[in-house]
Amino acid sequence: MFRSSRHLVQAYFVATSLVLILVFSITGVTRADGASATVPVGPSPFALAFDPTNGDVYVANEGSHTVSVISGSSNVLVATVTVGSSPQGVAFDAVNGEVYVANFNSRTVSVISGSSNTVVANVTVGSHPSAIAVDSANGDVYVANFWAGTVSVISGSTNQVQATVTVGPGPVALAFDPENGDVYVANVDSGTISVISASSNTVVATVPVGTGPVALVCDSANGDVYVANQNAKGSDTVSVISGSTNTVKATVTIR
Amino acid sequence: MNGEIYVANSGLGIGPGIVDAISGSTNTIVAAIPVGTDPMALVTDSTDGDVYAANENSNGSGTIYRISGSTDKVEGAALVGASPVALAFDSANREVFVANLGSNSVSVVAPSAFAPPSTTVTSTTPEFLSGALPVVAAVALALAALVARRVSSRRFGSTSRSKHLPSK
Repeated sequence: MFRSSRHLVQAYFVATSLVLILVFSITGVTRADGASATVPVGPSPFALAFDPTNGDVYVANEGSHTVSVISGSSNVLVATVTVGSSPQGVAFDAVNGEVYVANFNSRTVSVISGSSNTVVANVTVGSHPSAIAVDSANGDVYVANFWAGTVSVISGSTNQVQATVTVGPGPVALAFDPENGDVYVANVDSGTISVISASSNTVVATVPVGTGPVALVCDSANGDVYVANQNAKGSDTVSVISGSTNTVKATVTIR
Repeated sequence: MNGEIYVANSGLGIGPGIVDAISGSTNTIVAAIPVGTDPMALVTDSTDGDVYAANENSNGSGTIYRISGSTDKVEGAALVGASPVALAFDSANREVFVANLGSNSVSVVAPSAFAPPSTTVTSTTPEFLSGALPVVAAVALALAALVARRVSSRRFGSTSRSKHLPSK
């Protein structure tokens, strides 16, 4: 009786200690790494895109020629897709369910089917494609070719290049404005934004902004476009372009 | 969702990074939010309007800060892998995916993983409390574009273009 209750107490202590150790290690893991999961991918993961249709996340491994596909529901690697060299840009096309990958060093865009997670097309574009934007209205894909100073327009239905548009030197970022159907291209080397009409695929305006435009977003609430200018010698600024007039309506000094 | 535009400014590895919130109606800065060193990427939570900033600390470790879209204040921080450079938001599971350039991994961070910045932040990013060091910007808008930095750095032959900016 005494013996068994002592065992019971011992067992209780052991169980309590295990629980405490368990709690402690869980807490420790949480504190050491706040991530819910850490998924090993390829060398130098550089860009991500979420596919809301299949729930997968596509990771461009810039240090290799692969894209890692992670299931958003299980947070495990479900595929490793071979693409071109140094994939830098990745975007999901909601119209056709495909993922477009800009391969910086191989002058191509790889098209991955979201249903099979295999490459269904390799599209030759201009020199050093770096960034990709999708026309959410018709599914066409716009690719900024950094060294070429051009934008390749890939049809989302045929995956063929249907236009090559000359923009300014050093296009590094681009965004589709669903409000007016224009594509805005940041030319880092000329301090300008090229505005491409998605209906004609021609440049309809070239807007001078600050030195070093490197990023931009379209504000669907007010129809304006915000451009981040990274100036090595002066103040960094944000230029605000009116989506209706395609002129700068305000400049915000950041620092 | 709140009509604001968020701009990430690098601390160049020495000072606190700042995320500036610009009002879309007045086009003025309405909040300067201290985050970790070198915020490299931003993404918005499409379900509640919160903003996540990826920071690369001076020791190479990475953190993700969650900024409330309603108060423009830091709500929490989580440790991730080294040199986080890109973010994507999984709207189906409400998780943030983080590309860790320096550790060849992707961190998946759930909203529950964010600890209050008073505990996590001070222990991982001492710069957070060090006051107003000069902040020279590497700029990224919400939805982020580090590609620019990296592409530029390739062309200019430096490891990171913004880190060669002069102090102001």
